[in-house]
Amino acid sequence: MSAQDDLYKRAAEEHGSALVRLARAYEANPEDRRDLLQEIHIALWRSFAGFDESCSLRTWVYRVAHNIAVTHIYRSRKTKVLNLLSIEDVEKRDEPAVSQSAAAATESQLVLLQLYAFIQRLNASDRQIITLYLEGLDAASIGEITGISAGYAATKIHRIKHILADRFRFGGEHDNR
Amino acid sequence: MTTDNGSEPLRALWQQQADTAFSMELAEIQRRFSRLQGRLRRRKVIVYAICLGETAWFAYWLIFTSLPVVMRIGCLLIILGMNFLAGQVWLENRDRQRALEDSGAAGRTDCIDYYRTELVRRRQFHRGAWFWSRLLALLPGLLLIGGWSATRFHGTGNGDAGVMILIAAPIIAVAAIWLNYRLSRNHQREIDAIDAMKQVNGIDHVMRD
Repeated sequence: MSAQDDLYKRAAEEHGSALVRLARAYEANPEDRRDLLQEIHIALWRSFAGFDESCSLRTWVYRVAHNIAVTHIYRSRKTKVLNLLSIEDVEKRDEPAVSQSAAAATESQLVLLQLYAFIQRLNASDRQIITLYLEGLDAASIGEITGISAGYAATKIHRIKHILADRFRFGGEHDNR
Repeated sequence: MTTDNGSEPLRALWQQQADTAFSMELAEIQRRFSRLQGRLRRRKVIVYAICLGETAWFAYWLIFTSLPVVMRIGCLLIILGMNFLAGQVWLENRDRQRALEDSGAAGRTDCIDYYRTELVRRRQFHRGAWFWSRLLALLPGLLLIGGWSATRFHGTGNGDAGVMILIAAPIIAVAAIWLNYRLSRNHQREIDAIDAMKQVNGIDHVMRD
């Protein structure tokens, strides 16, 4: 087995689940999502032929996956009709992303569905930051993957935390404003 | 007041999702990669065939029939417009093939730059020289043919078809300009947002389109 194949196997083992979640953040339709996932895996395998270890394996995997996903959604027609929003636009809007009944529901599946619908409305750069944050990455790592500074990533994360806490009342305790 | 910690359970929920199993065998990846390459090659052949076919069709009308000069010019403009369009499809196809063969670029380039490049590519398709070249070649061509048919065959079915072309072509052109500029403005807004984001963060390298 070549080094390229080894790297791919390692990446798929370590980040396979994150890639599935990432694909779902970009594609709501299960068939399109499967196509995107396959596209990401093919690109990932191909990319390791030129992996120069200038960054960590995780950074490389996320960059390839997000970059392929962006190209994928822009090739599809959906982005032409969707008016994608930035985190700042979402913050300004009054209407909740989650209906009261959904917000009150405790079923995790329902909350996840709403969360995915919320993420799918965001523009690509904010979508990347929010999914990386949800994957547990810190500001510095998000900055390295996306190309924004760690400070700016931290500001964005701060805003995202507020929006998520405000709109998706799940688990912990929250006060109503 | 809402606390920042409110997002932590959501983060945990996100990471603990079920149904995240997906795997591809190496053999399957290689097979699909070859299939993708084949599909792009076929698309290239189809573009060539369409260009050749339509050029031959119009060439026949120009050479072997006694069309008036107005119709000949109209035909030539339509050929030009169609070939501009085919050229754009060919370029898009070439970019996809390059991206497929050099997937390493997606790993070496950070997401913001990659996204910006994609937006610039989309914006260029919807406005600028490429957009106007195909429109300005197709529209006068259609108007010439429509106008000639409307006057030459006045009162017949062909004459009515000419009138329809004369009415529909400008309407479609105006709609195409509006739609394409709307899309390009959306892309430009996102490009500006990315550039502003980079400036705010002291990333001082100037990106060129």
